Amino acid sequence: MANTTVRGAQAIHGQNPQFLVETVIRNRIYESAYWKEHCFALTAESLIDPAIKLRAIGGVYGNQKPTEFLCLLLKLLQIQPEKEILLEYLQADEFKYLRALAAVYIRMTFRAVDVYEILEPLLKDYRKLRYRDQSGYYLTYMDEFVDQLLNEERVCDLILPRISKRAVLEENGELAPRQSRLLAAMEGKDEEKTRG
Amino acid sequence: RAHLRALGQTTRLERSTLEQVRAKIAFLRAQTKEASEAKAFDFDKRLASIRD
Amino acid sequence: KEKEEEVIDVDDMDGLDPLAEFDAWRLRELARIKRDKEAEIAREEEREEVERRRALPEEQRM
Repeated sequence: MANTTVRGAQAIHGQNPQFLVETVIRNRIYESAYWKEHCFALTAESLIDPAIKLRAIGGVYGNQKPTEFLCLLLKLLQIQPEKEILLEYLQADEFKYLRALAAVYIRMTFRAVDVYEILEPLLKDYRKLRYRDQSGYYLTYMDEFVDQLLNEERVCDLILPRISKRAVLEENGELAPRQSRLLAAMEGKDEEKTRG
Repeated sequence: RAHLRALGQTTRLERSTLEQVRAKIAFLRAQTKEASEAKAFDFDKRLASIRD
Repeated sequence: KEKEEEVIDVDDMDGLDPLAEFDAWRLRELARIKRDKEAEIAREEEREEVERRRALPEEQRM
């Protein structure tokens, strides 16, 4: 029904994908007005509308109230859109909050190698994001947020599933070393200097 | 649930296709296109200017 | 019903000062590169330390 995972959903990290949001918060979401009024029967297509209207990312605020961001994330976990759809969300770069939403979902559900390969390019997206938490709103940036997703265990009051460290994947030959476009640009500059 | 069935509706959610999602994004995109192009151009220009 | 009247005092509008926004990103990116580099050096040193200890004769290893 309204709160069940879509039929035929794949288990993620060995469990119902919705369980990736811990029980207390999940129940808060099911009880929230936003969930009941705006998330009911959303599909991968109709979810785009509320997602681009988001005005902040974040987990819970005030008296443990879930942000709209978190509600939509749970909805995504519930309907489990195809991988290609998530990539479409991510590529629609006009809509930074849709992109941020897709980024968390990808971090929570994709294979480690894919997580790095798909999310690292976003480290060059320096647009501003509002982050809402207990103490109010503050400013962060897409690159900072993505960096947190890749390096920290808790983001937006979610416990992120463990993923292998980049270094481990590199040693196993599963992942090529990260190329920073900034570093590449700066090295290009150095070469020009030594030549000139 | 029974009353929904009686109305001939199902409680099973329709799954959106990739095409639907693409079309939707393309539609929304068209409305904000110019802003995005300006931004992408900007980034490359700045990176290039680091070399100078 | 309680209607949530919220004041958002944080502006997330981009492109207001493009140069400053880019420069701020550049510093964040450099900090990340530095952090990752330091982590790599630390791993390297740890590995060398392990190898050094392994090379020691049994009685000295304690």
